[in-house]
Amino acid sequence: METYLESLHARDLALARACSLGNEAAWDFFVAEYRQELYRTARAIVRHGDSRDPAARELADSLYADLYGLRESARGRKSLFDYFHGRSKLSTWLRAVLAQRYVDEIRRAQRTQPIENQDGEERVDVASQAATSLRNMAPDGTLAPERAKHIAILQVALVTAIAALAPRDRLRLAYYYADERTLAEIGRLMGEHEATASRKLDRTRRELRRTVETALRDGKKLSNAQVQECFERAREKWPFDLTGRLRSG
Amino acid sequence: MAARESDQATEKAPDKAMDGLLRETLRDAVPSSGPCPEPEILAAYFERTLDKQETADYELHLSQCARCREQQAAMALAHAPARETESEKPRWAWLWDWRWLAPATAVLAAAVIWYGRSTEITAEKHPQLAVARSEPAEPPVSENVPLAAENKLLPPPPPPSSRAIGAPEKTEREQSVSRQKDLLTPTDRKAADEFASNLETDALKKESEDVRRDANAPSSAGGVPPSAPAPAAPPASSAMTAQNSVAVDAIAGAAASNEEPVAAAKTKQAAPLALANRNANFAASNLRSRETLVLVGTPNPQILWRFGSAGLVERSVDGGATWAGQIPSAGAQLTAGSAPAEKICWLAGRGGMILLTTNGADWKTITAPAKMDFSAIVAKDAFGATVTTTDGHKFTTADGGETWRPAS
Repeated sequence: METYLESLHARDLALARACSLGNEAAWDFFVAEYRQELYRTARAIVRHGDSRDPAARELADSLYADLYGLRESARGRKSLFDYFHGRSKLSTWLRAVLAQRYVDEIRRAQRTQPIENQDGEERVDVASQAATSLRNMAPDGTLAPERAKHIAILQVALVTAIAALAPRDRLRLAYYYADERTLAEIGRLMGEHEATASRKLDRTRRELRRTVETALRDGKKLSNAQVQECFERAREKWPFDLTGRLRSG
Repeated sequence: MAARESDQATEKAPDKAMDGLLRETLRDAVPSSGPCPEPEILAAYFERTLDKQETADYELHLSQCARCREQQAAMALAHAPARETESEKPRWAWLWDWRWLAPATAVLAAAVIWYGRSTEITAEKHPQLAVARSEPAEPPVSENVPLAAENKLLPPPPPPSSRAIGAPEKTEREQSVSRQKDLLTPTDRKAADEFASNLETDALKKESEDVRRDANAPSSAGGVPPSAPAPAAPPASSAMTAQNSVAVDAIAGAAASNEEPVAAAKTKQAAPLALANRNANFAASNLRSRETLVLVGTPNPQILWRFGSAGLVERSVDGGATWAGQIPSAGAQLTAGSAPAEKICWLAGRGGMILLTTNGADWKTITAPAKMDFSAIVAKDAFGATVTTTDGHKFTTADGGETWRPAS
């Protein structure tokens, strides 16, 4: 408990509470102290360096209203500051709130309209297209039930193996395979060096493979040749090579 | 060779398969059903301040929640400007690497101490040389012009051992004072007062009191005729050439020496006394200013800055051998400086004074965060600096002083 209390950012918490209660001096200080940083953060999040960028300004300005608590409910004015409990710096918390708002806005927009590239064509990931088209089709365009069966067996074993991984290893895999982030980005997000991210991803992937092979041999009672054939089928299904990305970053 | 390639292909094949499997599996993974954590947890995770269990829980959620991962990525993006600034450091940024900067600073500090110590020793042994060395680049003021002319009328200077101001032998001093008391005018007495106030050593004060007491006592040898041409006490000079400084010392020595003929003209003796007083004032002011001189190092050991409390700023490009003076703000009471590069120097002082030069010559006054007295300043470059007020508050700027914000 003592450690927890010591870890709180008391100065920021006091400022947030004062602002939440409508203290004018606290608001003046907050605006003077954080205004520039809020706009800078908003510009960085929307990926535009121009300070006149309306999207960035709108994002930052939208926060002010909620921080002040313009929306009143039956129980009175509710300030966004009430959700700050001092567990992080106030500036980092503001960044998190801005990031959350921006992501939610983007995701909401994605649900209503397709994202198009500069040529006006719908953005289609080449890799996902390959994966989708090959999901049930053989390279010659014919259905390949045998191949789909092998893949299904592998995926069941793989899901089980992933569930047994440490959360951090799972997160690294998600950043890399689901979000397609570069190793440098993963390193930044996870607070580790790019080379470390690469090495740990490689290690996790080998560990997963061993676990899957063991599961197929022991659980499904497949022979070594059959296990090998499963992986061969999987390689045919995804003929592209992502291994190079792991090495080059 | 072919077998080896075949082995490598066999080893690599499952990797391709695993890549595809992982991509397919993780993309289609069932998202987390639990609620997403509050932004505060997101922020604390970003600051790495969550405890081990909380971190594991949050990372598990992150691995299953694309929304939260996107938020983390946006957070990282928002944090990027600071990182970019770091990565866009100028090429000389390696100069600030502590691995070599720490020993270099220690060597520089030792050199400064040695230099200061050697200067003190020189001042003790040869005060006139110390005065001359401390102001080599200063031009002579017009008041010094007649000094040389008057010097010609004086007897040759005594040996150096007897030239020190206010430090003659007791008997010599008594004899000298008994001669001088007849020559003192009210102007000279005022100069003697200044002498006493400026020179704070006990010995000099004692001598000055002797001079004043003797001057006020009734003279048995007759006073100075009212019409006698007594030189007016000159104002304290802020600059003097080495030659003139030595000349004045010689005059002072002559005035204090008992080898001087008593029959010398009184009008000629009045001048040396006043000049001696002026020299003492000057020496004292120099000693005082040297005491408050603040040396500011740059990454280049040959280039140094120094400043006094009166607003005079000097720059040396030869490791302190010679100095070129500048007055960025007349009368500024400067207290601290920081020079992150050869031509970039920040100075801070009393009354909210902050000065900045980015080319080593032209100064601009920076609008201070508060009109307070500053006791320290630490600069990173021409844009980033942190000032500390005398009561311990810190303010930092990242845009060359355009805006300031309190620093923790």
